Amino acid sequence: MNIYKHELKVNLKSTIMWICVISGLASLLMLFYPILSKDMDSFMEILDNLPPAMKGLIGIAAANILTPLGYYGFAFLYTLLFGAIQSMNLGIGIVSKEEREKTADFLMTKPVTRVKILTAKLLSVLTIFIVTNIVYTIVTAAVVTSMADGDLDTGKFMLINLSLFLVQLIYFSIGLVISIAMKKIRSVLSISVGLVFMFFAISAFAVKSADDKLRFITPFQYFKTDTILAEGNYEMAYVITGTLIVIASIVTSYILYKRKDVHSV
Amino acid sequence: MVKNAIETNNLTKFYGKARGIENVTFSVEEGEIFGFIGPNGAGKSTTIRTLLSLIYPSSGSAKIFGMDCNKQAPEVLKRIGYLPSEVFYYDGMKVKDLLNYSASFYKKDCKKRIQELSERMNLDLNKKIDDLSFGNKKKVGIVQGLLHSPDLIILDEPTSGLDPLMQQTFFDLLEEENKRGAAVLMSSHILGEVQRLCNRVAIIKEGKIIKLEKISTLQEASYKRFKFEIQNEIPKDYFAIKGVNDLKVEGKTHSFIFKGDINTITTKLSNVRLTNLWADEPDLEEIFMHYYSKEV
Repeated sequence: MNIYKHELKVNLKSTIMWICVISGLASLLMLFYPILSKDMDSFMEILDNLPPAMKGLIGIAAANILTPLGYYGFAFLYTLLFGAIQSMNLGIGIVSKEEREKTADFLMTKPVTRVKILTAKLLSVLTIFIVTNIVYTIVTAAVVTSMADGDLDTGKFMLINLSLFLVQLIYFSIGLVISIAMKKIRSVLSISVGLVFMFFAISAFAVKSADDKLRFITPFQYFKTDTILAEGNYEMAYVITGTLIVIASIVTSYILYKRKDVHSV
Repeated sequence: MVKNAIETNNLTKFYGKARGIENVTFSVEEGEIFGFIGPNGAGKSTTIRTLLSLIYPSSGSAKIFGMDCNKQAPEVLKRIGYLPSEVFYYDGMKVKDLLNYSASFYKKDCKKRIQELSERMNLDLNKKIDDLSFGNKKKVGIVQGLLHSPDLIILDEPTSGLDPLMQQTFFDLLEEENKRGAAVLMSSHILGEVQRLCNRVAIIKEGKIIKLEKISTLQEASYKRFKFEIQNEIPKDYFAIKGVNDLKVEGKTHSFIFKGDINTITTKLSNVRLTNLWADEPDLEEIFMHYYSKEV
């Protein structure tokens, strides 16, 4: 419990910052909806003239963008991007920061098993994600509802938002296992941003490509807003893949962490 | 029978192919102050970190209070207080927050002891750790290591960064803890402090223990430092006999450390005309140097 509380305290500031960034950006993008919806024809024209890769990055079928929820699905792409960076940062940093800031000697010579240390850290991160997602959902629900004149498909909206939480879990667990497997992490941010943009680039490529298998490589494509809007559910194959990645990464992290040598300064 | 606080058995650690320590076997009795001396990179920290289960041995084993250091790490660590050579703590935390966090890992009330220790060490509990000098951070480390009244205190190069007065207070504290019954294992490359505090020392070199000795024996073993000036030239290797080390000849001045029967030297000296003669106890440093450079 003490480690859990300590982690929450340590991560408080950055969590508040991330919540502001993610909720703020989504709200800001939503503010453009009324302007765009007034002049939808010319906007569609611009979209049509974009090169395919750009379309891929925008990541939503043009037709969907006409509705408030569809437009939100487009804005949500950036939520996912920044949410992924937040979670990747936590994944790579939560354990490695003890070694980098040289506090590992302090923590790990206390009478507590490494399994308990890792579990406490995981629970604190889970708490951070839950809080982030709740605040984000409250803010965006308010904004989107006001745009939609109260006419909002709550089920689909929640499905879209829940995918932020799920994608964060996936990126977090990938970051965690990488950080524990690596001997030393010098800069968390450069690695996490690098990795997230790599997945983001693959994502753009996956949209363009006819081959659906590419989508398995990048968690950004696991929960497509287009599909959610059209069918009102997730695609099972990707839900299973995501779950397997999380489980495998976390289990591997525990195994590696239990046997890892903590080197001196 | 005296029980052992620490007992290692052929403890070996390789980092990939690089040597950490090899076949380190020693024991520290309960209530003993045990020193670990050797230059940087000899394996002192590796041994200590293995005992603390920060790193895992490649082979061999270590027991503390009869429990396996790795398999029963949390049980073992409950009874250990550890002060690393360089102390680093969480940014932005106040001294008292850090100490309370540290205390929260032990299931006992440490408030009084924190107060006592910080008063002794002259440590301001309300300051932020970031704002402390190196020496003051070290004090936080000392309080943090002693606040739960451990049965075994492990110190890695404990005195670096402490001013002499604080060093004195710290040594007094350690001696008090020792009287209370705590065993102490300290590593150092400063022989003076080992000599002052320890009952026994292990000398470690290139990952291996080359000597395990009582401090008293180490000093008593008939080591003598000879120095004399002679009237007439003698061959430079006149004293290059068995037992002589660190032989230096500068003009008519000869000096060396000798271990063995002193009469061997006096017999040889009787054939030489002297103008001056010094003979005294070498300090531990010299003995140590001599072990280092000549043996193994």
